[in-house]
Amino acid sequence: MSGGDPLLSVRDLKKHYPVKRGFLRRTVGHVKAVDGIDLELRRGETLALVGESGCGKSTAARSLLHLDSPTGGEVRFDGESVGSFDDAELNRFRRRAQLLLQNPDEAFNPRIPVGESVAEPIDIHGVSDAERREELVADRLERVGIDPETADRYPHEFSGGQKQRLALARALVFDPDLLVADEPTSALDERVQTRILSLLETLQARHDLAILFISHDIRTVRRFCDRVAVMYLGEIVERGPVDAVFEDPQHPYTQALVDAVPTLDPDERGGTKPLGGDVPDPADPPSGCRFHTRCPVVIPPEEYDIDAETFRAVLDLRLAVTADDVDIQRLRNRLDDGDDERLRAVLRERYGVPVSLPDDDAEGALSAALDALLAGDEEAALEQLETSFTTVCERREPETHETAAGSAACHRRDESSPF
Amino acid sequence: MTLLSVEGLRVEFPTDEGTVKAVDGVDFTVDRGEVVCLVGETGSGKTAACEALTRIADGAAVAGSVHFDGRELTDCDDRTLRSVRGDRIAHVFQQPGTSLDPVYSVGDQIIEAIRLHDDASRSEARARAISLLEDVGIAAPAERIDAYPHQLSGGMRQRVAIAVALAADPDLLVADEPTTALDVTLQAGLLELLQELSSARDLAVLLVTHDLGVVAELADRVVVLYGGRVMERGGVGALFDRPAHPYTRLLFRSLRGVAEGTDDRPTPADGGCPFRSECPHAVPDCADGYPAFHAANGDAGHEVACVFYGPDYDIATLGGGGGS
Repeated sequence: MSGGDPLLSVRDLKKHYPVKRGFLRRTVGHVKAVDGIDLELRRGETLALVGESGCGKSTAARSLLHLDSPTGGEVRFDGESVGSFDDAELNRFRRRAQLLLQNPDEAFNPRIPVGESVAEPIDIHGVSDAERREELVADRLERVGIDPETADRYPHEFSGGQKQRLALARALVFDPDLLVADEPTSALDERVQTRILSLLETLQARHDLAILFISHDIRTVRRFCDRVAVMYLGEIVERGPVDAVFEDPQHPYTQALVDAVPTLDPDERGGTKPLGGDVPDPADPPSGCRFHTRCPVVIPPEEYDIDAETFRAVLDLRLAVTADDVDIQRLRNRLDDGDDERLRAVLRERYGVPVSLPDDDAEGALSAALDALLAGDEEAALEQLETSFTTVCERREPETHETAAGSAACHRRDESSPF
Repeated sequence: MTLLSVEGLRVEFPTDEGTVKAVDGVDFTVDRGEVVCLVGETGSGKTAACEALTRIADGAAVAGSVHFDGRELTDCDDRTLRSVRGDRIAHVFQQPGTSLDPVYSVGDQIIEAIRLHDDASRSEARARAISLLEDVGIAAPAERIDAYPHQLSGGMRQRVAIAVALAADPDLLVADEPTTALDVTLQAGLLELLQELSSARDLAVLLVTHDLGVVAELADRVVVLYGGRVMERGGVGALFDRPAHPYTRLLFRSLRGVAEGTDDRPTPADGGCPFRSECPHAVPDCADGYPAFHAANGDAGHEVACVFYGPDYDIATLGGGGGS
């Protein structure tokens, strides 16, 4: 890793898309795909951006490259603000900062020989010397381990791994300083992935290339990257050196990603409970900590003596009632008009709520809410649940705290937090 | 009890450049309630092999024996085959979109699948569809049943595809890379679901995957394919503890970050060990016909098709293991 100023510095980057409805296409809201992220990347360094689909990783990549203009924030490249570039400067920036995509087929026209496709950026940026052009292509093909003699063949004559090598050759035509690689290996077989990553490592060392590696594959990131930023719903929730972050995650979302990675040991299967639910709609992100709707260790209300797992279950029930997902009538029909006692038990079981909460006040509040629900008064049930079972995680946005090796944004790290 | 027994399966596809042998003599069995994983890379023949069971691939020439619950499927006429497909053997694919029709609601598709195999009334079928959605872990199934596929997330669509597959209460579920297009978080949940379904319904699962992590999570037994041939097969514990075939060992080494081999396409089936052009230990005998199966490391049911495990060679030449 080289010292000095960062090659890429991203401050408070935002990319919001308007949501339009109706005949007049009025803007009724915004999808906050990227909502204020900071990143720093030095020459020769690999930074991973990880998270589930829909968390905003790819949008972040496109907007920091100014392929889509950011809604807000600043991107500095080699000390200069990309937002203030004129066309010529932007062209120069695009030569120095390249994007490598997941599917190499998108980079190649099936009817054009691969050598021509690799040379395409040269033509766009106006290098007209034919001999120089041919030399460049041959050299880049050699770098990625493709025989230059095969440059006149067509894409379908190459394997998936070879096509990704060709896409890489094309990205490297101008000797870029920065490579943004968006899931570059996730469509490939395991052994091909390993070989491509090893090639990237070699090229990086030789050319002092900075790589922003976007991935949902924790195992690959651990193997290949220096530092990691974990992204959830448009925000960065944790960052630090890969080993520290993945060996001792400080944010529950990072922990959940790590827990979801299969162990490769058949004796240890089914260890942890998978993270429930999907990534929420970024047009309407949850309040406070955006992860509170799924977090397995969401902080219980101070006034009750209940553990995080129990509170998670009660909160799941509350969120289901909010989302109108609890259909008492149907449940009654299914239980053949079973009595209310049975109905209560089934509801509790469905959300993992114990038969009776260990705290009397909490149990009183929950019973009252279930009574209202069974009586058909959903509004009262919801009000009861929303006043009795709230968490700091939904009330306040967590601050970003320094951790042993990096930082994490979680209320469990607040000084006032009992955890 | 053996539910499916595949012997000498061959699958060929006609192409512009001649016939391609995708599968060239593959044997495996699946017991009731058991999860068997077919593991292989692109071009290993794993997908062609499982699509050949009920002949769902157009234009493929299938030979060999597919014995399913007392019936030889390769001899069946199209009508019988259609009733086996869906009714007894159901398929789930990598892209849930492949199994779901975008213009029909989720409920209509499950209800149709139920009524195709059972003369239930529409309202009975609807009630069953709702409880199927519940079984596959869809929250608020009574509302979601009227949703269209595009209104659901990728993870939910895959669960719905499984619900459609289960509509006729099949004995065997053939799942081709069902979690590959999903995030790890969703993958973990879906693997857990397949595990639950397999034990709760005594459902046999034939899972096709390239991901050894998925195999470790779910498989009872494993069949490793390369170039249209079985390289190695055995119980998941034995195979992960002591992978025997040089190819399987290479797979495990790759997971630890060791980059070996080339991205060239595998050599087409020609009667010799298909892995020999990549194998670090290849000897002239490897080209002399397909290697026979030998017991690997003395574990019951763990077999390997490699000359080094035969009487003429010493397996010590292959060096140390390479397991998980």
